[in-house]
Amino acid sequence: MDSVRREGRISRRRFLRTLAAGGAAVGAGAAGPGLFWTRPGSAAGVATDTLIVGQDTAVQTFDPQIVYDNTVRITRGIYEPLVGLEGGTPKIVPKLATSWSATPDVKQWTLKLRPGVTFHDGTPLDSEAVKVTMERLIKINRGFAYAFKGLVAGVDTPDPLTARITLSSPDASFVAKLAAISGNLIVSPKAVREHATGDDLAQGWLKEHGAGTGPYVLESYDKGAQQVVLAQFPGYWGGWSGPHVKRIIFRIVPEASTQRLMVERGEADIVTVVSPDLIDALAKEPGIAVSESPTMRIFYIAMHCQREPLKDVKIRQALSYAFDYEGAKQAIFNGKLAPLNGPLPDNDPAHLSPADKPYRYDLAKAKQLLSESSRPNGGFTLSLSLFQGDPTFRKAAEILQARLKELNIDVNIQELASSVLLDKAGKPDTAPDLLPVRNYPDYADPSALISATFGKDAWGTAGWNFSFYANDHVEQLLTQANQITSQPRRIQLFRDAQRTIVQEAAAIFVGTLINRVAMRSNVHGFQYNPLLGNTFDLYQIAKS
Amino acid sequence: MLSWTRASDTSTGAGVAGASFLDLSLRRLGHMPAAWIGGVIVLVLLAVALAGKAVAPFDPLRIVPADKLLSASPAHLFGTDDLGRDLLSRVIAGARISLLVGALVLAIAMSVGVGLGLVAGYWGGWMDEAIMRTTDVFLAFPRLVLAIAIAATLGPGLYNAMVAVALSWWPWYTRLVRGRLLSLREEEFVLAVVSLGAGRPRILLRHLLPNVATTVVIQASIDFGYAILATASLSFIGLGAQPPTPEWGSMIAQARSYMIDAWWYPTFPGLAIFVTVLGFNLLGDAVRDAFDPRLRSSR
Repeated sequence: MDSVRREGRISRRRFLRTLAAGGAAVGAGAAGPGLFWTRPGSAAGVATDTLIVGQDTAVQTFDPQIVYDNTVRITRGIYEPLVGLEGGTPKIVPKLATSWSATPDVKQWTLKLRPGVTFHDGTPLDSEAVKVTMERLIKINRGFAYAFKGLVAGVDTPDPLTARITLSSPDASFVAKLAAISGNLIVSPKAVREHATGDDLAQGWLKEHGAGTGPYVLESYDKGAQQVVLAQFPGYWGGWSGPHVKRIIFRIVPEASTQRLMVERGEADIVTVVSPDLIDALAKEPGIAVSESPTMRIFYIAMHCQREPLKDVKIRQALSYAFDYEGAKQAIFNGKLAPLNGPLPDNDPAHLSPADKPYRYDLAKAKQLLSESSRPNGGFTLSLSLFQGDPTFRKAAEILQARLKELNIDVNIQELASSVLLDKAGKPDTAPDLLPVRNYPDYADPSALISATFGKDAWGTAGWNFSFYANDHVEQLLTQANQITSQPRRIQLFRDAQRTIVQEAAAIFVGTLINRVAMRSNVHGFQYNPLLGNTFDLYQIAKS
Repeated sequence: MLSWTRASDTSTGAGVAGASFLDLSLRRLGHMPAAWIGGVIVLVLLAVALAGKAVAPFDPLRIVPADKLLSASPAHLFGTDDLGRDLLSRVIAGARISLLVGALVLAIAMSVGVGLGLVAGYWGGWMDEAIMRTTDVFLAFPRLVLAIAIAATLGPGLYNAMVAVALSWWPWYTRLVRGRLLSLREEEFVLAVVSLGAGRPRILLRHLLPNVATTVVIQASIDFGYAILATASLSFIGLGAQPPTPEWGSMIAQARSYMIDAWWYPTFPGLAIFVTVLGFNLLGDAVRDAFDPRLRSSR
């Protein structure tokens, strides 16, 4: 007993000392941040041929057919798709394929490949690579594979520079899918063959190695230092005559405030944090530029349409009237939020107009709708889950929670690590009643976002339908739209489908994000495309 | 309190006439500056926690988006947070939560720990072995790591976090009580009641429990601050209190990215934890010194 108590005393004294030191530190912190942090003026700067990126996401794998998170920022420098997007537009332009054509029934697509392209391992690009990549994607069946699985019937290689893809059903948006952010990034068939272990299609090797045609080679990945280094590929088909950087270093730093300090001190050239408050603070500082571009990333709160009490459309409508849209825009995004009047953002041709979305913050209307519902007096509790560490989700949840209290509805918030949450939210039985979440289209067609967010085949993690919404009328309209090619008629059908979704209040549509990236002001050529998630074109970037 | 005094008297054999052990200890406590500082802090905290909303200028959950991240001012003495909520009101609301957390954690840990300690120390034999090896298993893990593991298994939530901290805490009480009991059960007054034919439950509850109570209460007064700190730590990493609960640990977690631009946001909840834990430690330290039997015998 004595020994236990003595230990207790020593550790207690030591603890008190630590506390005192901590107190002093807090006191000093209160005296002014200047004591702790050097301001940007003292920035050391990085050599102009090296670009340092503060990367927010840890690397799970570099496998081009698997990566579906923010690591695509890196893999898109190593690998390239067959077709690309021009600048910040949805226009499809040649990349590894120079031209493409379809049979009149849009069931067979023929692509001509660019001659003289070699992979990092020396293999020349040929139609075999297209075949291997497509088959590999479908076989591994992860991430973006869902867009091709069941659609692609086969890939033929009539000659080394011609690939012919046969589809099982007509698809007018097939080339748009080839231009998507991930999935169909062409991998060297030699690497897949030589490094395969069993039937893993070289997944083990490609987890930490690269074998693409992209401008940059994966030079090293240091797990201990959490750093990825890309170096110029001398044999790149695009050449190196213009302004480019020689090396790109991704330093993986998930903590937003650390990333902020890095760019302030010049230890990073570009940071990828998304916290609107941090970006606003950075925008005010000299030597730092913030690039602002519209996105197609929609921010909404999914409502579980298959479980009581949200199964009742009146209650979902009441919740849509109880959300303080303007307050949220100010408190969460500091006013930098574009409107969202339905599943599609305003920069999609098929978007709805403000007149189509009746919901605005109106508690009286919300109370009235609630009184007409199956629970006229409220008195129930809704579960809401949050992706841990994202302040925008937390704040949206707290704003909704505070207002719903006035309707006598309790919201029980639970913050979970994203893997745990996705596992739970993936199935209708375990999913929360409410889930604040973001989504963006995987390819340039209105159907991409609508069916992934509210389609009946996209429930949970099969797509991104956390509302577990299913409506036969909507499904009919979407199917109809995919079978015709007349764009005005398609847009009409997409709008009708969206009006039903909005009228049935499948989600609380909060807004469309504005992409804001902070970088040192000597960084040039930063180019962002709303269809390419959070990535930017590494090849175009240069420093002065 | 009455039985405590009497028990102490029995344990010392014969107390000094008119000046019981408790009186002496309390008098000694009164001469310790640390006890006064700690005591005042704890009293203020208790008052604030009890008064709660009566002294808070605003509703701690009132969201005013336009008043986001206001610096400290007469209207908002501690400033506001990232949703425009008054930080002073939230820190005050947090006091009640923290005191409740400390009390509940110790209540759970003590009821489990003391009970098992009594059983192990008095019965001995295989039961003692079984209980003590179980405590060894628990003590083999660092306390906070064990609490994190339990909290992660139970799922995030303030009550789960308290249970997790309590479950990582009870073995200390078991050890303490058992050790004390091993020497106590050979004492003459125990042998006397045994020879008088008293049953085991009576001996345990009427004669042994009061004698270990002093030790346990002293340990608890020291542990109170740690229990608050451990639960706040769990909340900081997201395993404890969930939004919008104004728990200090979770407030700091939400505030940490604002450290540079809004120093008041993480600072005041941090100071609240600092002062609270310091207060309970000073008081616990002083109580321990005042009641320490070894100090008494050296007088």
